[in-house]
Amino acid sequence: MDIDRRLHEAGQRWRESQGPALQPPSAASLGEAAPPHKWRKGLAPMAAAAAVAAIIFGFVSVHGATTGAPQLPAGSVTTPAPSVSTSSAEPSTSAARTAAKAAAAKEEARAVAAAEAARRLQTLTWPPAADCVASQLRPSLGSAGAAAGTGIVQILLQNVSSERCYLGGYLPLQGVTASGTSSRLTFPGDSATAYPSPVVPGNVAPGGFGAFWVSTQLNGCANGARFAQLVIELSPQQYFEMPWPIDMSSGCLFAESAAGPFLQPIPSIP
Amino acid sequence: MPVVTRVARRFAPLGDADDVIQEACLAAWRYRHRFDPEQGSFQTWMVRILLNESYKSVGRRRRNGLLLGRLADRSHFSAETLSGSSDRQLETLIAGLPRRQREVIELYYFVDLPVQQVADLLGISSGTVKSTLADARRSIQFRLAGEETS
Repeated sequence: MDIDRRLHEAGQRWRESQGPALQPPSAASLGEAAPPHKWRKGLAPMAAAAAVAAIIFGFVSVHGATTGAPQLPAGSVTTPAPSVSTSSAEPSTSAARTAAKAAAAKEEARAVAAAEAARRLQTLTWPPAADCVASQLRPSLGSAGAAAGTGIVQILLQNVSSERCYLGGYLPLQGVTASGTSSRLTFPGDSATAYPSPVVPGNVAPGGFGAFWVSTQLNGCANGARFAQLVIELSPQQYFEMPWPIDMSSGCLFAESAAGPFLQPIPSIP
Repeated sequence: MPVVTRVARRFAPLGDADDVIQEACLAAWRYRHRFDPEQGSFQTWMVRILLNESYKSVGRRRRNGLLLGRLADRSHFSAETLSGSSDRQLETLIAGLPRRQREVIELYYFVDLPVQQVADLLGISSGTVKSTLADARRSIQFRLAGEETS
């Protein structure tokens, strides 16, 4: 056989025996087939954590400045440090081991709750929504209680519209008498102490709740404020009213908290 | 880019083709400012880088002693992918050719490049490519005849 023809045929057979040309990897295949480098495995969680941290940081720095008080996401950043003892001593009894397991489970549940709060905070703050208007919110009385000489009243603001809206900051309040005379409510106390769990500004989902709290001082109060209606202002042009919460008359008005989406299930107020 | 893949699979050590292509792509990106369209096509420039990377890879394998087994039969190519024993024999004979003859045979018959592109790639004239091909064919023919008679 002619050597030229033989080489051509050998070359042809070799080319046909080869698989398809190398294709650039798709994004999906990179995720599935990439070698398990540690830095790659850790990149996604790190990026997610960084994104959440950036949102939280930006959130606190921007809105904390506007409200004049340090704002922290409820239930996420304020998660206390692990309370499990770091003693090197091994549990010597079954009771000690059970207690250690319970503490570990509690800590795990706390971490899960913090992650969930961070996730919900992210969804509540991004993308930004327009400011809430009066027609979007329906006020109602939440829970109320008293402890250590302080009364606390929770005002819920439910988003009854189909759009998310932004709620944040301190809402000016007015009391309106039965005769129609209105008075702006003033609070001598530190607003940050109005409620133990700070509320952060954010978006209120359709059907979701926003909230703020008003605290009163029960001791040494001769006359509490008494009105027929409570007017809540979102802006000079946007306000709505609700019946005056009787619990706000049990003491002297002391402090008002900032308003914001209510991230957690409604707690029982002590 | 099938030409690039073929070149890598013909010139890189067995199993190193993908790595060699990757190295060549990185080198091409790193030295992209050196590409001159007036000197030749991008494909030619890229294949030249690929050839260099392939030879580097062969050198690394030799230094590491990983080619010793393959050097024994004077072939580091993918002979097992060839279909018949005659192709395997041909492959062994090609591997035993002088480097320049082997290059033109590989590029012309197996990578399937035209004579002019082989010339551009190797920096020689098309006439030299043709004469080198003829020399290589004669050499292969001579050795084949010797093996068949023995």
